[in-house]
Amino acid sequence: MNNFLLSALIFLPLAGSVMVLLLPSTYRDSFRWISIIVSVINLLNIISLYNNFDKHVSNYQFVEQHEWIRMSLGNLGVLSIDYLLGVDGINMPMLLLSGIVLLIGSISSFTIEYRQKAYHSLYLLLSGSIIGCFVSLDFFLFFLFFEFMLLPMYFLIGIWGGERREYAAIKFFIYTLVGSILILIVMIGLSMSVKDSFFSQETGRTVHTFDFRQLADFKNYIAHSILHPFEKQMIFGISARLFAFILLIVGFGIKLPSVPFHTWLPDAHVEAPTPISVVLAGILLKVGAYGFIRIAYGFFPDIAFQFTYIVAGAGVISIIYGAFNALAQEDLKKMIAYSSISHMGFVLLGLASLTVEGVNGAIYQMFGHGLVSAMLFLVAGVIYDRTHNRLIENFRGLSSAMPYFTLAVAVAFFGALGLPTLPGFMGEFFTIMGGFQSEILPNWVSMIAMLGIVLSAAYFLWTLQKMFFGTFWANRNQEENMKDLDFREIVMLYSLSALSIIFGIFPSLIFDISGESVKAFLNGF
Amino acid sequence: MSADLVVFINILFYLFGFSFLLYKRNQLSEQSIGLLSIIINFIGIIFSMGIRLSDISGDVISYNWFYISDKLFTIDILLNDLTYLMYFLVQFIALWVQVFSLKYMQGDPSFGRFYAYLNLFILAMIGIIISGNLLMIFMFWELVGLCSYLLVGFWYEKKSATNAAMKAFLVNRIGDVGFFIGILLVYRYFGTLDVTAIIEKAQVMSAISLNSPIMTTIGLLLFCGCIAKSAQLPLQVWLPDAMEGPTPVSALIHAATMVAAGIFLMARIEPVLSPDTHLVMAILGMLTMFFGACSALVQYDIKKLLAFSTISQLGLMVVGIGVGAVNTALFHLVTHAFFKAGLFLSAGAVIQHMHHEQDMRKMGNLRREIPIIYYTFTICAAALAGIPFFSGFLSKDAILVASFEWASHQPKQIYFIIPTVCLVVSGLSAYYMMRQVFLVFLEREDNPLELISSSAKSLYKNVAKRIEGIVNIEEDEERQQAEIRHSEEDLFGFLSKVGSMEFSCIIMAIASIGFVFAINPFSPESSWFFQTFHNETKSYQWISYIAILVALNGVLLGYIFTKDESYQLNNDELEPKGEIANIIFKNYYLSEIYQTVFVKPLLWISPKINLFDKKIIDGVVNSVGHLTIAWASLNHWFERNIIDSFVDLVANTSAKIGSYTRQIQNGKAQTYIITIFICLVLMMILLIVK
Repeated sequence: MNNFLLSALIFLPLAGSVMVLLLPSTYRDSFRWISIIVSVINLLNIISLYNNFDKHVSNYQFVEQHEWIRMSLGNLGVLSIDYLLGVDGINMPMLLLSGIVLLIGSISSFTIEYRQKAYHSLYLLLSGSIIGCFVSLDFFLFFLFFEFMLLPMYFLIGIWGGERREYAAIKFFIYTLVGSILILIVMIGLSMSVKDSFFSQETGRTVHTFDFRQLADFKNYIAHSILHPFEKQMIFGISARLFAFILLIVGFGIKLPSVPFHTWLPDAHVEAPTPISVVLAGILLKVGAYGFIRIAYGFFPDIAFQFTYIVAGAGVISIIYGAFNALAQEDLKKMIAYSSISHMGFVLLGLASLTVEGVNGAIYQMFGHGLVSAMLFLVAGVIYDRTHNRLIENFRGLSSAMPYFTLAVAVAFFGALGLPTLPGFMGEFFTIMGGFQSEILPNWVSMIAMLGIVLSAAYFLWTLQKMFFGTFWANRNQEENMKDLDFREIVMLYSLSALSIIFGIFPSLIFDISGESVKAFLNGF
Repeated sequence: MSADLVVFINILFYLFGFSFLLYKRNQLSEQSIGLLSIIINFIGIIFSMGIRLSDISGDVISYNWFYISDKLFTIDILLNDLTYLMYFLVQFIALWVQVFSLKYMQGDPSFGRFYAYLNLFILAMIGIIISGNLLMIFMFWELVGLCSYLLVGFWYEKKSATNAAMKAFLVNRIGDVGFFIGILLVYRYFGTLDVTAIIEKAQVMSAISLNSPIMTTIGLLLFCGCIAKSAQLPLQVWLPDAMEGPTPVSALIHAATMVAAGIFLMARIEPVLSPDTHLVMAILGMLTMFFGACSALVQYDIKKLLAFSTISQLGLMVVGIGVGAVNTALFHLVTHAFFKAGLFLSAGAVIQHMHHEQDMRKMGNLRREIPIIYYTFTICAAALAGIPFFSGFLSKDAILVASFEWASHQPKQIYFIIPTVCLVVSGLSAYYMMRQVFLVFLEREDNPLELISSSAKSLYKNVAKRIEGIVNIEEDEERQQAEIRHSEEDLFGFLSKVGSMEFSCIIMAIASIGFVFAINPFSPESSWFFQTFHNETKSYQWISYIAILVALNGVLLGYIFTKDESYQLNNDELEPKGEIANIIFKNYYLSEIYQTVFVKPLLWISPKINLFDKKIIDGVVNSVGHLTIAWASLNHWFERNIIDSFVDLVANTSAKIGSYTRQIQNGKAQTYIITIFICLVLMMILLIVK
């Protein structure tokens, strides 16, 4: 187990961040190249991990484990925190997605001119924490990275954002922090209830652990502990485990975001600069979904089973509610933000179904939505960069002035509305199929979700119609500014388009990876 | 070379055609674009014929596509007689549509884009045809919908065109949602999406379990896909609007191939459909046929009339499947594809000749001006009308006979309504085709052109139009001369001199003649189609003769009534007189109803929901924030005024006490003596009292 590839993924961006800080500000142009080079190396590293990933086992692979903190708690035993990294079929696709989207984000950051040094330093810090969050297998480490993402994000929105950036940044920070606190409570409860089976025997004392592998195993729960699965411990008159699960779904529901905890997202998206919107929609939302799968569902399968209706209901409501809101938006970026909420609802639906189709579909949907939403926000960025305006009604007939752009927009829009051969379709198809296959969920729940598919077609086509068809016109005489894509934008949008098509036609690229792990995951239910 | 490999290579060719033409659309000349596209198509046809010879197995060829945990999803290629037939048919018609478009789309700035989309369409259509499982069918089904969207909205600067495109896509999406649910239910109850496996399972089912509610639900949901794509009631609203697309597109997609995909799908899965589903299909098909034909009766737009007749004919095919005579429906699909493509292509030629005028009231006497088109159009119209010696007669007849046969096996006499209505409506189709031929091509007493010039009201306007027309004609002549000069240089020019438009129409007309399909033009049984595709119908052959009478009657009435029809040419509005006629003309106001019932409430409610989101949900979040701040400032006040002032109070009090007590220790001997004295007195009083 002496590999260090996962650590390299985390520490390379962190080292890059420090390097950017150390370089003098006069080396302006070098900063963006550092973040691109770091992102490229990380992506190559992730691709090599992806290639070496053993698809036939459900275990964690490339595991790195180092003892980090050992603290005696007196009578309570010993608190053990490890530096523990590893990937399985559930976080490998997320890692791949992070690699791709972070690279795109760093290319997109070329347009940032204001205080580049600080920007790129924060961006690399963000990259490192996102990847750290995905590969951590120790709850403490996970939480550390989970929290640490907020810091650079706060400054990136608050300094480089739009007009209402302070409001959006504060709202984002505090809202997500509230969620984190709920998760923190559960984390402490879990670690107090679980002992490390191996070390406890060896040392003769109770060793409290944060190891994901130990937390997921009911055998490791300490008798009479607060979260013991079979002894009904009560808090405020309800089962402690139920209480903990509710805290987790609210905590991760905020991050996902699920209706009704979603309102930070439109504000944060609209105010964030384009590359940060891309990272936010492309990866950060998936951290919430990943937490749902790995922690809420992984550690509380008994409760999750009872919560099927609520989680599926939240998913369906997010789908429909997000779609209706998207239909009403006049701001392109806000429309895309609400469509993100709608599409993340499918993840919840698929997960709640607890079928192989549904959960695999949810993972695919996370990946596919990551690619597509990154494209969508780049598209909004292209228009904003040229005109500093994002209102849909201010543009008409862009397709005659910007044909290359329109092609990319078409791929992004049709990808989002679920056209087959693009990634949106497979995700929606299999999450809804999961809903139908599920023994618990009635069919009508999934049928309501289908309404979201019609609505998403409606708002995307309507936007396409309003902005791209008709005779060319842009408000405030901005016509001459509407130049077609430059080289950098073509690289970003077309490589994402190509990836969308590849992953849309060959869904096995994701399903092969996730299949075994999901099967093992579902055995717990 | 195995058949599946051939198909695969063929699809790759079209994929190449699509991407290459899209990429190079502005660099290549029109000639090379057209030539490349046609060569690809021609290779495809050779492939399709080659397969027929080389492969006779008719099996499903499966490749692993992906696993979801342990569940395998495959790429299935189903090659049976139906596949071969459609495979050839689609490419054959596509070829002539492409040849036609060489001339029709000439000079269009987006010539390359047009051909690129056509290649994508053929690819997707072939995909539907060869797919052996429902997931793949659905994927290509949606792709075909995309192509339809792109091609209907081809002239995207025209608002009506993009509106029509969006409408087509959304209406199809609604039907597809039903189809989608149907597929998922099939997967749930059959455990597979493989069409042949599903059919095998359905065939071993008992009659009772086949007619169970769940099978009917599945059947009806799958039929939803067909309702939208094949423009059945009540989702047929998109097809007339789709005529905004270029006419060759209408011929290929909205008449011959794509709209028939719904019929093809139902034919593929027919054994799975329960008897109740069959009945619903028969009834819905009948209604569609009737209402479509009625709408066609009153149209003035040359393309819209054909669109409504397509709806009506598709209704007939659905009836064919509904009564269980799948092969007759397929036969009609084939003949209809040829004659309807022929009609649309001829109509395209007419529109081109009339300088993009589509109102039939402004046509007439075209027989002399474009005789070739007149003949091709009339032949195809005769086929549609069901006149003997033409292909439509054979197939329409087969369906009618089969439906009478079916009705006779039903428990109640009332089932005879379905075939009877179909019979009557086939008379209506003869009527409207005659009307169209009359209006467009034949001499009329009220020569519209003379009427136009004598009409005082619209004189100025029409004169202006005429002048414009003349100028156009002169330009055309110049261009033709230039073409002739040009044509001596290359092969392509030679083709266009012969007249690619006319040539395509001629091919389609030839394919609409009865002898192409059957040696005996009165007997569908003798056709090569029913030699390959079995058809069981034996009795009720006498229906054919009634059908002939009905058709001829329709033609006669059409001639008589159209002759007496007088038109208000100065009235630019397209609406006919009379309320009922108006309702029919407007397609029963279905679009308007949908607009008010679905679209408007949706657009009304979504801003409200958004307001709710902003005010209530976000309001709660913000007010939590504000409350926290208010609470904090309250805390601050409390801290400053209560807690802090208490602390201050303590401090101040002690300070005050200090300052008082300090005065006691003032260092003056007199004060001390007085104090001692007072203390002594007090102590003494205390002792005495005690």
